[in-house]
Amino acid sequence: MDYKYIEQLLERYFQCETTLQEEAILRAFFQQEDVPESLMPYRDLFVCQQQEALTAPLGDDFDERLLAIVGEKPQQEKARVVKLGSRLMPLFRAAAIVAIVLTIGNAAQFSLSPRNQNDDINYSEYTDTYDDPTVAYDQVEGALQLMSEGLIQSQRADTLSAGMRNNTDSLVRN
Amino acid sequence: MKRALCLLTLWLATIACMAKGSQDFASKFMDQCKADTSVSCITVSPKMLEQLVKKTENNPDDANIRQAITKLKSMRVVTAPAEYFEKAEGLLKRNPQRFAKQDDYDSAQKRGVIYSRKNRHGDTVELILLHESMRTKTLTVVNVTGTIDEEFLCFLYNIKSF
Repeated sequence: MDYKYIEQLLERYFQCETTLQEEAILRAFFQQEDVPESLMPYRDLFVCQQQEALTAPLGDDFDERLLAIVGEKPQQEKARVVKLGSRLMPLFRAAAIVAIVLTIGNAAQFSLSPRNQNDDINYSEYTDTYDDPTVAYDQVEGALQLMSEGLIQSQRADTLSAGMRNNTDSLVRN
Repeated sequence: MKRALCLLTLWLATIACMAKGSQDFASKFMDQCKADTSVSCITVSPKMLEQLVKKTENNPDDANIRQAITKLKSMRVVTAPAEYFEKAEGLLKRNPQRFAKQDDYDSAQKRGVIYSRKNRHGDTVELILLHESMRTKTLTVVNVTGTIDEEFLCFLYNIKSF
């Protein structure tokens, strides 16, 4: 009889390549009486597996019995209650760090900034439109002229409205 | 150690962000009108203003304007179509903590509004004029920064003596 198939299965079994069905075939083969001499050393391996599967499994009280022998009481695992506060703790920590950093930054900026600083504009970003001072001068003069006109116009408007208000008041009084 | 490094990095980043400083009104307005080529801006930087002060030093006729320029740190003049008046004023109105309305005028030929900004010490550091000409249908924004004190305003009110 040719046992090449069984030998191949065995070889694959020891290389952990067999499927569950193939292992069942091996167990079934070694269950029979006339196992060839060359394969006899492997018989016990498969017969034992079969017998162990048939024997009763560990009882439910196995752990208790074993712990009683060792001298310890069985520990009941308690369900962990996770509160919302503890779940959000990393978020709170991050917020606290950001708040601290901002506070330190503000304090540093306030303490580092010169007291006589007039405003907070970063003038280093300003790029001149004109390189020629004469052209720039004309622009500045024109802009100041316009601003002056605006201020004078608004002053006139205020005076007019005040005068009208006085006239209305006097009309109401009369 | 890692935590300390992270804190230090964050702190430095915060300081860097704060040190960047803010923009004047004209810059903010230009940011909103980037896409429109009909809006243009002229900038006169503090360095150029210093040059202008030096330029006027030898001419006694320029004494008044020199004094006014000495008080300025920068000037920007924005020119745009008249329709931008409301947009510009809207931007000023949206920042009431920063800009305060000072005065306005309105006539058949022109209308305008003046806003100012004060620093934390209460000094006026920015003056903005929005001026619309009905004839040319253009908006001109004059934005100056610097020491806008009574002396400077007196110069503006008596500009004929420049």
